[in-house]
Amino acid sequence: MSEVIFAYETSGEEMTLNMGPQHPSTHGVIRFIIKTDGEIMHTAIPDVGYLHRSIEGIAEKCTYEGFMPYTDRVDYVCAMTANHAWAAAVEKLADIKVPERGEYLRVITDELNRISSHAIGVGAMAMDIGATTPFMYILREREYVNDLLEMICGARLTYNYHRVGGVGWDMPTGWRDKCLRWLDHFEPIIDEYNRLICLNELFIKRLANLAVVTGEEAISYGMVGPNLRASGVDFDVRRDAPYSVYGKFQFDVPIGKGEMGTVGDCWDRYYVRIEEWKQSVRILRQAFDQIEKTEKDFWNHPKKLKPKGDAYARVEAARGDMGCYVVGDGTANAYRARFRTGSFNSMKVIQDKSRGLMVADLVALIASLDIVAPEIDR
Amino acid sequence: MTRHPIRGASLRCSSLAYSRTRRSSRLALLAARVSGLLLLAVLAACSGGPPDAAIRDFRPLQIERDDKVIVEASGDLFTVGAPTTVTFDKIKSGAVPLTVPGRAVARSRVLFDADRALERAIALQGGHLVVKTGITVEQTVEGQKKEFKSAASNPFEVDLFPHSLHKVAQKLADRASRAAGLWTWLGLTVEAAPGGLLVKDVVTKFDHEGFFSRFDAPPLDGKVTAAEARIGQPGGMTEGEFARLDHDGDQVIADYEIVEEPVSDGIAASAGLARGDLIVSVDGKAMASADEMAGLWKGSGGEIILQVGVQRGGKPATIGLPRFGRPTEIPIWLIFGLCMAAAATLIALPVPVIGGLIVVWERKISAWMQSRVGPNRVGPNGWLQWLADGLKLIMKEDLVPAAADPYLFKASPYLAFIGLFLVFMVLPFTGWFIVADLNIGLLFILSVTSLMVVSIIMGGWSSNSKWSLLGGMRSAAQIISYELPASVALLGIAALAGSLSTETIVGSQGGAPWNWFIFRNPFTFIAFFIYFISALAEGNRTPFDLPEAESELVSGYNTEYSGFRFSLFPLVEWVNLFVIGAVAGTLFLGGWRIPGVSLASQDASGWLQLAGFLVFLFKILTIVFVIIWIRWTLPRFRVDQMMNLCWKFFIPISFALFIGTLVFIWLLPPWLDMAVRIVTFLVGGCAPTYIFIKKVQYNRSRYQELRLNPLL
Repeated sequence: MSEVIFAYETSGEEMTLNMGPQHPSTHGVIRFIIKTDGEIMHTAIPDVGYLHRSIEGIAEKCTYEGFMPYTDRVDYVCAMTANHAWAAAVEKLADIKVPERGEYLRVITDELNRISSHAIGVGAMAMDIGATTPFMYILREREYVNDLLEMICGARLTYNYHRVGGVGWDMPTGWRDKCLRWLDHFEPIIDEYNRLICLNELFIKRLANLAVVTGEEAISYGMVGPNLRASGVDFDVRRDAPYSVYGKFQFDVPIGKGEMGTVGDCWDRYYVRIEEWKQSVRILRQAFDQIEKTEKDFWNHPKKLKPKGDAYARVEAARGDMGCYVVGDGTANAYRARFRTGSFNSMKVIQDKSRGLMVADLVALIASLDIVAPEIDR
Repeated sequence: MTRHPIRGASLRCSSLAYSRTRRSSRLALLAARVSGLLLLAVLAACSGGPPDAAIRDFRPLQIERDDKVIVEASGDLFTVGAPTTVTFDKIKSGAVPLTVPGRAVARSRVLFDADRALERAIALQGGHLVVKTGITVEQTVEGQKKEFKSAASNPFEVDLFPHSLHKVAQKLADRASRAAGLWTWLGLTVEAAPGGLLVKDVVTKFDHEGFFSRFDAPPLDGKVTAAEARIGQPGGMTEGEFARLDHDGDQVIADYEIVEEPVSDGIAASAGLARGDLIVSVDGKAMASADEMAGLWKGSGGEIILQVGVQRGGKPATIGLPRFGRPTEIPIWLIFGLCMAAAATLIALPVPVIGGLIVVWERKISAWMQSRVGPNRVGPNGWLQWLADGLKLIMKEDLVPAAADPYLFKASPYLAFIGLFLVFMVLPFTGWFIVADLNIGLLFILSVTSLMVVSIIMGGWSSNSKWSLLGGMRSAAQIISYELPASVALLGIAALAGSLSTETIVGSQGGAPWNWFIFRNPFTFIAFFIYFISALAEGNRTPFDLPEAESELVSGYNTEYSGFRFSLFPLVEWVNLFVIGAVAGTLFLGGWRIPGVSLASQDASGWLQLAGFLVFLFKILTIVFVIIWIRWTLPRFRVDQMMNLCWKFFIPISFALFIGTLVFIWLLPPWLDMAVRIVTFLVGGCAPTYIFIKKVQYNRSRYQELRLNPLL
């Protein structure tokens, strides 16, 4: 396809196409101003800001603990890791030690939520490519995760489960067994899902060699998480800057290998997420093994939380390295809070890589970057 | 299944062999051989004509006047250009078998016209005939007579048909027969005489039963002689009946109805007209010939319906013909109109129902495939959901965007609608049930379906929305491109059948799968898939649903439509599934042919017609199911990939297949034909089915493991 595009001379007649903010496949309220010549795009300029809710401003207006529910809204598809990032940053600021069981519960909920977030990502991508059924299949699995998370914290989407100094509740009785049973069920589902869509010839043809981001480019764009790893950069916060109890687990970091095309193409970005499912399952099994040996205490509730100074904590969210920077001035509220998220950096990638793609490819590119609109704007 | 020569032979062999051997291993071997032979026998019995006869085929087996009938030899036997006659052994013309002149149009084909002579012979044998007859073609080549006979063991079941509805209508248009009808109804036999019409005969006892029973009688040729009619003899005609025959055309046709009690006397007789009267005028119009009666009758007025000016013995008089019945002269346009309205209702009314039911079916299948429940609220098990959806759409506001081109915008859905509904005209649901068996049926299907693309471009462009425009342009490129491979893939079938008429195409296939065109040779087998995939593209179905790709173009060409106009697009899309299935079923999968039932016997029985319809429906629904299945499995192509697939692969392949089919027709010896069919059937039909079933069984065995709720 690429030689067709490069041999193509623009006629000078451009059509401006307004994709979004209300469009089925912009994954939220994002607008793209597309300049096209027929099907072939000259550029797609992302116009962000439609979903800005001043979350960082709100952080300055409420207490450290009171801000926890708002972090759910930073990235509502993977709320646990945002919880975790805030809690970790505040704990670092106030120098609070988290009980071991609390750390394990955080990791377990993080990984469960990562699986469900990737389910949305790959399912929505298949749907954007035109296959409806895989979305339904994988959303059924996500429902099970939602059920499990509902059992532990009472919410299905915005959990508000992590606390400064631990987690809100311990596991309910029997929850561990249910989780393990679900993991046994989920592992063969990954293979089934691969047979259903990932290795489908049409699907590969649509995604392979599309919008290739090389490793160097990915680093210079500041891409993080699965998108970075899909470009062949072997970096994972969980392994390379271990936080919580991630240092105690054995797991691999899947990177893009360019099996179907070039390293860093859309299919790699897609498949890295599938591989991450398997690693999440591995981590979960180890965590469930090790949590048995921990003490009962799961929440070191700080009596007084008026820290001073600044702290930066980073966690590996579903969309990559999520950083949280907090400045405390000795009052109950933060002086300044800042979230660093993955989707925002992807916007520039879309603008640069969209040149010469087709309108249908833009949809695939957006989906492959697994963009979640609130994470861009916050 | 008409002959069992091989089966009989094999049974004899087996009984002999059985008495000589006792050992079980030999028995097993023998059983295998016998069953193989039996299988062969069944295959041979289900297949076409016998290999030994010179005349292999004869069609159409249903003959009407003006038909062109083709006699086919089993090889290149005929000499083109030599004087040729075709003789039916069992149809007599007088005392000798009927012989009609034919002409050899190819080395394997003789053509003759079903002309009046043939029809007359039919008529004299009692009208609608199903005759089992052998056929002999005679040619005189360089003074030497050559005879080619059909197999004596396998006579052709020829169905000689009376005139069908449209021919009746044609006659009604005929002024002379209309006039003749009126004269007969009045009970008068007249002939032209100087100064007027001479009354030759007046029917005093009007024989209503006899009169109306004549309408069911076969059309008789004008040249029936008194001897042939056997006047006065038992079983023959009465003199009056003979006289009432229209001696210039066919049997008189009555185009009126009696709504009041008929009287026993003829109208003219009761009014006082007698033999020998000279009718000068009717209602003041001078009568020069009997035909002029046709324009006079209006069927209105009071008690006296016609004033007849008469000269009796030189004296003029006026006789009023009283009103006993009410003859209605139905205008010919009304008859055509009513016929068309009836046919349109019969065909068009079920179409939205078909579309609606397929919508619900698709939703149910998709729910089934996606572990959902699907529609189950409206009607029994949700099967009336389409009605609720349709009503909702109809009650919505019909919105035309301010910037749209209102006329094109409004017209576009109807074009799609028309283009699709016209296809139903030529779909052969059974041998009887077809609106019009056009001799260009296939061409008709291909051309009217192209109206869809006009509609989609019109809708996309006139909406004045960029998304609609993109959808419309995609669709134009797509449908126009894929029409080519689809048409060329069908060309091979037209060549095999030797006709574009859909009924003939079905008739030239057999009931058993290896006699379908899909398994006729390897080329048609691939052509089926080329057609099927191209039809998916033409119908905007996944994986070619680019014109309405909801994740890219919001809703594509129909983004701006609402209400009833919008509802037409999905309706057309789903009815199109049915049409794809019907066309594929007709051309490749044997249409309404029932396995093991001969064409003639299926054509003769109403129940078999119904069974054939159900067989056809089953084939259609199978294909519809596959299309739906594909939709809910596969992702979508990109525009350039779709175009590459068409122009770089499908079009060259389809041309190659067409040429391959032609070469097969040309070179394949008849004895190899059956073998090719069977091999294609086994390799192309049975093997994939076996593999598929194995795969399904494997997946089923894993079902429990994957589907149980792990949290329960």
